[in-house]
This record gives sequence, structure tokens and C-alpha cells, in this order.
Amino acid sequence: MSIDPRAVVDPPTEPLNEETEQIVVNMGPQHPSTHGVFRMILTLSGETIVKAEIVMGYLHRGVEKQCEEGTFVHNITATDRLDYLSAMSNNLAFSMAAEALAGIEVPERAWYIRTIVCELQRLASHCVAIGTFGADVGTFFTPLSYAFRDRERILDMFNMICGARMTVSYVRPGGVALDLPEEFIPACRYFLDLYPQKVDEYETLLTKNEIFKARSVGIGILPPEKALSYAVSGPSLRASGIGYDLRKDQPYGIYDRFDFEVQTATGCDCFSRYIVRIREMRESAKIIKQALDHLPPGPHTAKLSRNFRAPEGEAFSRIEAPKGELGFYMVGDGSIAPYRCKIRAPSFINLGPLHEMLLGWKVADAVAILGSLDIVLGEVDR
Amino acid sequence: MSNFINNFFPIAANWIGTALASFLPGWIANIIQIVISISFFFVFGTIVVMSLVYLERRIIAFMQDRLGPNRVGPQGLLQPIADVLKLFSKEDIVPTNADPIVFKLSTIVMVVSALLVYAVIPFGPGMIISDLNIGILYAIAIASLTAIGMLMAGWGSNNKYALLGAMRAAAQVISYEIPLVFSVIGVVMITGSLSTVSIVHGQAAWSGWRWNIILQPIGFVVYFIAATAELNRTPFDLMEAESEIVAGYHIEYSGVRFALFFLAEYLNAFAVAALGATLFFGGWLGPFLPPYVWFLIKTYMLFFVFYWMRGTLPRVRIDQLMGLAWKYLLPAALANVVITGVGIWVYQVLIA
Amino acid sequence: MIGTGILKGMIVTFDHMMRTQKETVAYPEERVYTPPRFRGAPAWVFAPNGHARCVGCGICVFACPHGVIEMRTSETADKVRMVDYYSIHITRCLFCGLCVEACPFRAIEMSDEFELAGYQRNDLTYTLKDWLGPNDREYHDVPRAQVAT
Repeated sequence: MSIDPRAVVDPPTEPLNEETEQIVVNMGPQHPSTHGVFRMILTLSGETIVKAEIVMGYLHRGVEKQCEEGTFVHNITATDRLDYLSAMSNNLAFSMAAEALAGIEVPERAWYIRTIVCELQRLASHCVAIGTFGADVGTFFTPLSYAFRDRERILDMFNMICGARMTVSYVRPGGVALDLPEEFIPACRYFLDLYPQKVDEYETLLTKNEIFKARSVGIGILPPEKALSYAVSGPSLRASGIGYDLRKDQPYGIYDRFDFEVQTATGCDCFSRYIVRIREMRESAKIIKQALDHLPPGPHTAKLSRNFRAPEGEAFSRIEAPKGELGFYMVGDGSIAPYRCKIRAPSFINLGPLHEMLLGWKVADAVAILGSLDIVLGEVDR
Repeated sequence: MSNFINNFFPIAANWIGTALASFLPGWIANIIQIVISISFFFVFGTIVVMSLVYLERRIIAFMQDRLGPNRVGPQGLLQPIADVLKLFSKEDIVPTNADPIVFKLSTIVMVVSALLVYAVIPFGPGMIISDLNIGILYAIAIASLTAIGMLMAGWGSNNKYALLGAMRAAAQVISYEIPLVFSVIGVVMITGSLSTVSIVHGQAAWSGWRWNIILQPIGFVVYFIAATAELNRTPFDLMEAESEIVAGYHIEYSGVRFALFFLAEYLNAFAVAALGATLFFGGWLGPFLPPYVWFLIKTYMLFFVFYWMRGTLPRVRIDQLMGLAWKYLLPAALANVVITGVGIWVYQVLIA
Repeated sequence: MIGTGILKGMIVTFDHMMRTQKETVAYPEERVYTPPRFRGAPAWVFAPNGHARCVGCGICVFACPHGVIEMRTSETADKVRMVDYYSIHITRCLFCGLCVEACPFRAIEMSDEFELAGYQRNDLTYTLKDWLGPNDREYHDVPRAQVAT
């Protein structure tokens, strides 16, 4: 049964019953299901959520302030730690902003390498999203173990390229830090050959499971108008039927050369958000294969000094990060460090409609809804 | 020789009885014999629980492509002993405003109600503590005392979340008892007796292979699902694992008391699985191997399905849980009773 | 039919259970593979004649994002710079490798040490005596390096 999102006006709420008093329950910062230090203060009437208040900021580290103090290359290491599950994408957004500011031309091979690496990172990030969503819904970490096992392969490939698994600092302004080693391409092709059957395995465990569907279909409806008015982006938006993907609508880099489709779903519920991620994983595998086939030789970075100066001016770059639209607004003032670096974090913006999405659902659904939005606290709090 | 192995435990019990009767008056010897057999069952239950805990972690780990505990002892077999020692060494905390009597008594109620069910489980021919002729009724009645234990635990903790969790747990247990009872009624109708030993003997037809699962498949499915919910196991384990906000009823318990809750839960699980093996899989019937070995194999096979479900399935929500019990399982169980009745009448009229 | 999705999922887990090869690396007995470019703890590089390559230029100190490297130098009588003290706070190091990229003499490299635990905080500031040379000598003061290869 598919739900027409435009027919959903308000989520079901029980009338306030004088006999059941409302209790205020705190899903506190330390919690196994909140994907980090995140706090939700829920007012429950019986089992139904009547009011939800969101408190964040427990992981604030002052990344934007740090970016004012360090050179561009120093700031790359800071951007690794924003959305720590998709470090390459953060590096890419920052590098694109710095290149737009300083007018740097990036060679072809560097763009191909950047695309391969960012799509691999998208696969890894969605593996975590699916695994932890399954764990929130109650499967005893079995889909999580399988998804993380495949993520290990991807992280091993990153280890091979640049020496670190999560905090990579690989994509730099001007290109990439190091060229791909020889053993990377056969390893990547081997991984991509095995990959579709792994996604089939996740689908067998989760998508077709009746209990999983009962826990996620029709839960946490986000109507498309509301999603647009809150500027939600990424898979959460595409699950509400709006096919907006920066890789197709405003292609950056060389994405216009690849043949892939934007995946949407019309259910607007948690299950749609999950299924959009699964489909995106298959599409990303296609992109990586095409990029590997057409990888040109050449330099892997532009000729640039380490501490280059950015002229005065401002630049804004946006990319389709795994969590949504990630943007960097950079202001330069002629020195080796940016004057101001503002980060448009997708997880932070996607949390906007959460307090409305939670109303009327049960306590158990609160965790499922939060898990389906797929937030990373490093990005929310910066 | 094979007779000796097959009947080892009754022969040993008799030998102890005669040895005691030789120097003690009859009734004291009887009492001591009963006490020895009961304590044997208690020790057996504890060892079985430790093996179940170990197997659960290993089997679920294997399903997740990883090794389970394999450091403590060869292949990790001494891991449950390490767990028990750890639990024993923890501080015993009783919350200040809690009701101490209710708090402390709830663990005892849970353990005792789990152990009392063992009185009617036939491990083999002649290996039953007491062959009541209302065996199954007794077992189900005692198993429903766990709801009282949970409510006592929730109330005695002086914690609103524990109380909410306990009420949810009690609601779950009470709702699922009804399909459980109705699924057993089909078996009782076929056998014509409530005694567990007669139920096993009733499955000895067709040279020991007329197991009730063949005659009562729907009944078995309903029994299994209702048993999973009674035992708070996945996919119905809202109490243990869904402790985001409304934590389970045993949140305030630490150390030995928590160990007792754990023990009670697994004893209960083993008793229910043993009853399932008795009712539907022929109890101790089977070729070649001694009967108690067959019984343990069947019970562990049922347990393996519990672990398998735990490794694979997500959790249902509380309202879906209640809906499943009242809207699906109860009608299925009632339909099963009707079909069984019609089948028995047809059999009696046409065949016999 | 209701229940087929559940059964298919259960068949997948059963299949995984029966496989003999598991993902776990039995850690102290089996080692995790570290590729050549792995970024472990930073360590000095010593030339074949046993001298360190570091000349005390201080570029790594500036290249580090968080100022984790400390270095003190002095001049000898014949105007040769000597490194008196060089330390890296491993507790604050990001293992980013920017110091390695910045060094013009290839005098510092990322080793593949990742088992860096210690019992006291002082143990976790690596000074020169923690980087033993190829002959296992201790270096208290390091002469200027022979820079060629």
C-alpha cells in the first residue's frame, strides 16, 4: 500500500486524555541509538509522542574557527573530522571552494580519482546508514556486521591509497595528495564485481522482511512540501519523491560524463529513505566502474605551493555528499589562511523537520525515524 | 548393556534409594531420595543454562561472520563461568526508596516459578520428578507466575521506567498465554490426557514416529510464536533490548540478583522448549540413542531456532505485538482446536 | 505468502553460519596488514651511515596543523646546526602526515607503529631517545646529517 504524500495532512495524535498524565522522557546524550551525542526530550502521553524537543551541540569543537587559523592544507585535516563517515566528500567540498577562490585548475586525472574515491566513500557511508538503521529497528547487529564487513573492504582500499582509513586528508586543493598505487585498480575491480551480491544480501535480510516493513513502512512521513520548506537534501529528500541530486542538476567536476540515474521513492517514510540508499549504492558502483574504465594518465595534482595565497573574494562550493548537500562558503583575504569558512552541513539542516516528524508516533518509532534520517553528529555540531 | 545406558538415571536413583533404605527408616530414605533428585535437576538446570548462554553467543557470532568468545578455556567453553564470577563480584545495590521485601522477593519468585515447571518434564521413561495427571495444566499455570515476578520487580525498583517496562512485559506475557494454552489443547484432545508422560506415550504409535507435529502443524506454529513472546525473545524482546527510554524491569538489579534474573529467564526458556519437544516432537522417542540424549537433542534444536531468529529478525513494536496476539494467533489457535475436533470425530466415525 | 521474507532472511544467516572463514582477525596472534603508505607514528629516518637526516630546519614544526612537534636547535662552533631536542606529542598528533610531506630532506616518515599505548602521559611524548637507530644506538644529540640519498 503506497501512501500518497499529499494526502497526509497531519500525523495521528490522540486527544489529550485527562486520566493519562503526560510524562517527559529524556533520550539523553549518552544513548546507544542516537548515533552520537544527541538529545531528544520527548513528552509522552501513554506511548505516543506529543511534543519533541531537540538539543544538540554536545560535539561542538569550533571547526569553523579553527579554519580561520590554519592554512588551507591544515584545514583539510579539520574537514576530515566533520562528517567523519565520509571524509573524502568533506575534503572535496573544501578543495572545490579553495580552488574557486584561488582560481586553480585541476587536471583530468585528478578529477577521475576524486570521483572514484568520493563514490567509494558514498558506498561506505550508506553501509553504515543501512547497518545502523537495521540495528535501531532491532535486528541484533547482523545486517550491521555484514554492511561493516563490506565497509572494511572500502576502508582497506583507502588505507592502500593514502595510509589512513577514516581521516584521509586525501583530496587537496589542486587535485589529490598522492597518485593511485598500482594495486588499487585490480583491488577495486574485484570489489566491484562482488558488490552487487552483497547489496542483494542486505536486501534479503531487510527489504523483504515483514517485521522490518511493519516497523518502517508508513512511519515518519515527511511530505515533500515540508521537506522543501525545511531545505532537506540528500536521500531524505529523494525519498519524498523530489528527484533533486546535485550530481545531475548542477554537475560539478566530471559528473556530467557518467551515465547513472537519480533514485527516488514516493513513500516519504523511513522505508523509502532506506530503499533510496540501497538503490544509490548500486548506482555508485556503476559510476565507479565507468570512471575506472576511462581513467586517463596525467598529473594527479596541479602545480601549487603548499601554502598558497588566496586572493580577496568569496566562493561557495556545493557537492552531493552522502548525507545531502554539503556546502562551503569561503572568504579569502589575500593571506595563506581563509578569512572565514562557513560550512553548510546537511545533517544539521536535515534535522529541521525532526520535531514535527516525531509527533504522533510511538516511542519505538522515534529511534527508527532518527535512524532513517542518517545524521552524523560531527557534522551537526561542527 | 544398552538397557543399562538407556535407563541409567532411574537405575541410579533406585540404587541410591535402596542404599539409603538399608540403614534409615523408609520415609526418611524417601525424602532424602527426593531431595537428591531435585538437587540433581537444579544442578542440571544450572549447567544447561550455562551451556545455553555460551551457545547463544557463539552461534549468533557465527551468523555475523565473526568468532564468539573463544579465549576463556578451550574454544571459550569456560566463558559462562567467567560471566558468573564477574556477576558475583559486583556490589549489591538496593535503591533507597525501593520496597526492599518486594525488591528482593521478585528474583526468588522468578527463579522458583521457572524451576517448578521442571517437575513435569519427562526427560526419559521413568525420569520425571512427579508424573502428575494434570501435568500440562500445572506447567502452564506455574509459567504464568513469571508475570507476577516481573511486576514485583518493576514495582519494587521505585523507578517509573522500570514500572512502565514491567507493565509492558506483564501485558505481553499475559496476552500470549492464551494462544499458548489453546495450541496445547489440540495436543491434549488427540492424546486424551493432560499428563506429559501419556502425551509422549501417545506419540509412540506408528513405531515411535507419530509425532504431534505431523498432526498439529498449525498448533506447533502457534505454540512456537507464543512461546517466543512468553520468553521475551526476539522478535518480541521489547523488554531487554528496547531499553531506549522505558528500560526493562530489571534495570535496578546488579550482581547476584541480576544473575538470578538471567538464570530464571534461561531456565524458563529451557522449560518451555522442553515442553515443546515433549508435546510436538515426541519427547524422548527415537532410535539407537538413549532417550535422554534424544530429548536433549530435540530441545537444543528448538533452541537453535530461537537463536536463529534472534540473529536475523528485527523487533516488533508494542502495539504490533498485541495485535499479533489477539488478532492473529488467537483465531488461528481456535481454528486449530475446531479442526482437531472435527478430525477426531471423523477418525472415530469412519476409521475406528 | 506471509513469512517468506522472514524465511529468506533466515536462510541467509544460516548460510553465513556454516561458512568456515570468519572476518575476525585474532588480534595478538594474527597481525593486521598495514600497507606501505600506512600512516602510523612519525619517526626519524636515518641515512645508511647511521646519522639522522634531519638538519633542524623547522619546516615540519610549521607544517603540523596543531603544533605537536617541538624542536630546539643550537649552533656548534663551526656554524653547524645541531638538534638538541625534538619531540612529538603522540597524544595530540593527528597522524595526518603533513610533516612528512613538508620535509624537504625526507628526514621524517610515518612508520607503521599503531600500538602506542603507555602507562603514563610522559611516556607518550616521543623524544629522540624513543627513535632508536639502525644499530640500536641511543641518540642524545644528533650531528648534522649527510643529506645525499
